[in-house]
Amino acid sequence: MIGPEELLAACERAVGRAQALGAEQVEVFAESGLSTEVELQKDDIHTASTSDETSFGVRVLRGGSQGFATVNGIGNLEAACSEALAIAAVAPADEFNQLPDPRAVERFERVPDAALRELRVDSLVDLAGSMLAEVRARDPRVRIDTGGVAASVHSRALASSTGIALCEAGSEASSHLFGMAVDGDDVGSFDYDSSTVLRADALAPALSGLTERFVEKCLGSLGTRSGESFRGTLVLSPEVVQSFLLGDLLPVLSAKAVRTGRSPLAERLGQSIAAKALNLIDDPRLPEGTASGAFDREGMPTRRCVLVDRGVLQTFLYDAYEAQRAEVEPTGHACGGAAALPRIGTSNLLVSPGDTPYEKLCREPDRGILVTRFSGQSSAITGEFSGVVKGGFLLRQGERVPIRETMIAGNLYDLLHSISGVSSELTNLNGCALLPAIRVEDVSITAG
Amino acid sequence: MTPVDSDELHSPEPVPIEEVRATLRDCLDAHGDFVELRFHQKVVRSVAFEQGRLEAATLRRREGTGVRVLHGGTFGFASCGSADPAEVRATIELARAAARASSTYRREKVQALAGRELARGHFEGEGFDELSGRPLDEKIELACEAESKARAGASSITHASCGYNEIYEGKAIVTSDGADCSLRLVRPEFRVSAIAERAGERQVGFQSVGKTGGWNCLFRDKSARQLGDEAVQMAVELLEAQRPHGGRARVILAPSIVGLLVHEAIGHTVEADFVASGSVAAGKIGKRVGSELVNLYDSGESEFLEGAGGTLPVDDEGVITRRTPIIEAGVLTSYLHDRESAARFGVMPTGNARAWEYSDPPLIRMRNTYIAPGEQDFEQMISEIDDGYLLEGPRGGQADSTGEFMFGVGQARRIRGGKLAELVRGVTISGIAFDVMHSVDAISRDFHWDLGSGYCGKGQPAKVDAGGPYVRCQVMLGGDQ
Repeated sequence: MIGPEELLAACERAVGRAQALGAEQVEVFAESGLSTEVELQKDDIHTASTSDETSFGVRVLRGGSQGFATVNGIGNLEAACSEALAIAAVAPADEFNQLPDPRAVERFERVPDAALRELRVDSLVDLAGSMLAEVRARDPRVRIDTGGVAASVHSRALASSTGIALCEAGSEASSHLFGMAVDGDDVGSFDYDSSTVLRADALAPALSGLTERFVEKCLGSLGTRSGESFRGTLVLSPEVVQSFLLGDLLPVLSAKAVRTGRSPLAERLGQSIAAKALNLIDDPRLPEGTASGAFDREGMPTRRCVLVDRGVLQTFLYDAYEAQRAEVEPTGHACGGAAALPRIGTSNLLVSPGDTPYEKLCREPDRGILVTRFSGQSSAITGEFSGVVKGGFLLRQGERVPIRETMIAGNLYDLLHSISGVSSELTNLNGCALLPAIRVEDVSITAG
Repeated sequence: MTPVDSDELHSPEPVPIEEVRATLRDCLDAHGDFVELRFHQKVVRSVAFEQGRLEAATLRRREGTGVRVLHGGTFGFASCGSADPAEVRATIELARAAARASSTYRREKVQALAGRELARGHFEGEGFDELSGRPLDEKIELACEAESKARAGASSITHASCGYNEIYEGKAIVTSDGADCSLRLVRPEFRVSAIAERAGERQVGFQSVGKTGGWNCLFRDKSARQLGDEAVQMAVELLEAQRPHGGRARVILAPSIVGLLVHEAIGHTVEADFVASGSVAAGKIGKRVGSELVNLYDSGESEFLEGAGGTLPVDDEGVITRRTPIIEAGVLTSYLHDRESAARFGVMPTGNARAWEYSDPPLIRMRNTYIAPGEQDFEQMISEIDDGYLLEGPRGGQADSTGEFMFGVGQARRIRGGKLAELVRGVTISGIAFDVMHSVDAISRDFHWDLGSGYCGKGQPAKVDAGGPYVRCQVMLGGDQ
């Protein structure tokens, strides 16, 4: 692994090389990381692995034309400069293709955890072994299909011909479990849980929490029966809020989706797009956030950004190109790694808690479905969604009955306006989302 | 500004893969343990147009050597970003250390690796040089033209995009027990999408194709223009379409949906690692799992038609790929194996060990999965349905260990009184895979590969293909209440 300062020096050298080859503007972004992982399969330790890789992404501009090439290995960096220029030589020009000038970047102090850097493969194997034992001890009916524990240290750097020169380092440890419960002939559906922490001393408690949640989820899908068909209430778990509700909404908040006409919310800035109970914030400077950082993929400063306030759309997400076209300041939302051109995205997501305890949120409806996993198709362009509730429960007069083969269908944008409750509890999802459960109304539900 | 020296702007040649193989062979030495060395260079060239703008023209080059060492009944894996002998030898030691660390905990040791048919020599895929020799500006022009024609395809079209990718792969695989092979192949992909809008309502049309082979193979069945026209037509027609009423329905699945069904709902449940974890296919070898009309296979070769997107002559353990019968005459005949699972199940490996890139260890993955053609006439199959649907155009899907599946359908056309009728939209179908296989009562004589532009996800992505004939069966349809 290459440290942040050395990585930045390599980026700066490559900027000079690409300029010497004829580039008018150059941006070189680099990532370097050392990671160790222990993989679980079939309730057993499977493979321990290590990897050490450094990648570079070179973006060049010449006569308004842009080329991008990415390589791994510092020895291939010069070739990447040539390849990016070869692409720019045949790409059509765009007058807005320009790299951003430097902006002041406020420090975001995060020293990589020394203990995590020293964590050896033997220690990770011990942790993975204890995770296996804990799942078995909690309930022998739960089977781990795959899982893992991983630790990594990494650095990133960015240099550009416009004068940007930034670098930072980080570390994290993550774990995940994927599997199902089997009780005789009763095979539950697949379920999944994961956790990400920033320090070695947080890893063991995180693993314990992970096994507890995973076992509970898997057991919840045993003994399922057919649900019921009706139009009515859904309670979306924080995981489903993240993957389904926000997973569809966020892409259409990007300024690119607005510019290209893909976003149905293009004309809705300052207008209500959801019930008043919804407040959505992107915070890339969250001290414990796993997606936190001082600068974005283009070297623009990051800042806390309210996206939706009491249901009203506050802003779109801009990278340097879209900001230039829209004649606004970039919002620091250029995302991604060295292996691709920057794309627009968010960092740590927060939805403000409501005032209804989770249990009450589930108990209040006469009839409804608790959705803990959604497997289906949805389109933010049309708003339509349709799919199967996995690991779901029928909520009826305070009772919670596990159900199978229940399909839901509707429209995302109607759903946002139909929010009837937000839980007062927040769940931390991999350190990059703090989300409540959300209750929505008037959804088409079809039992198998 | 310094003028551009055109000599300096030529992309470097692909790595000489057979020379790399010789280098790796020298690194094997005598280690005592089983050692597998796999150099993998992947070069991906991508072009994307959207609303008249070239959004991306990129080249991604990633290469390195993945090393597996079997020590103390456990695999250790490590990778390095080159085929440099000193780096590869150091990486072998890292992999050995990783294996040693985990072997104390692993309960079920790897006793042996199955395989008597390990590959030797070089395997050259179709179209590699032809596609790499074709100028980049021609590919940019194609995507530009397809996007602009789709955007102008109908008055209701408000948005269009087009993407072209080509994925070049060069691999060299050597193992201490005799595999010694290299391969090169290329997989191009092309996709067009269009959005139609009317009175605030929007619908998306989408067409894509992906092959293992060259340019002519990619556009053999349909030109870029035809694919664009079909995407436009789909978006426009869907504006008129209503949602279906939910419930159980008699349907005819088009080859694309058959492909998705056999991949998601059957293929994953017969991957030996899922079987060992208790998938619904466990213990069902030799048992009836479907109608006797059903013959289902997974193959590294491109059966019936050239260019299937998951075609692979040798897997990433150096095992020659063959056609694997999964279901024959409705009876489950085989799981899909790597060398480790094959030894555990007491069978031969099926050539299904695949790694996405050099830094990924091989997993059991599908290749080209399909139902074999039957003897029915497609028109006849429609005429025998009084009330049902013809389902075409997969929109993604998932399956569960129980065989329960769900996937989206792009175009669902109603069948009334034995005739094709109106289009419906927003359709999701679900069911239990083997129940659906039991409900099959007709299979057509046709055959198409139709999933070649897709990727399968299982921790790592994999390029796969799937397809088959038209299949008549019963499924659950998601819709309004």
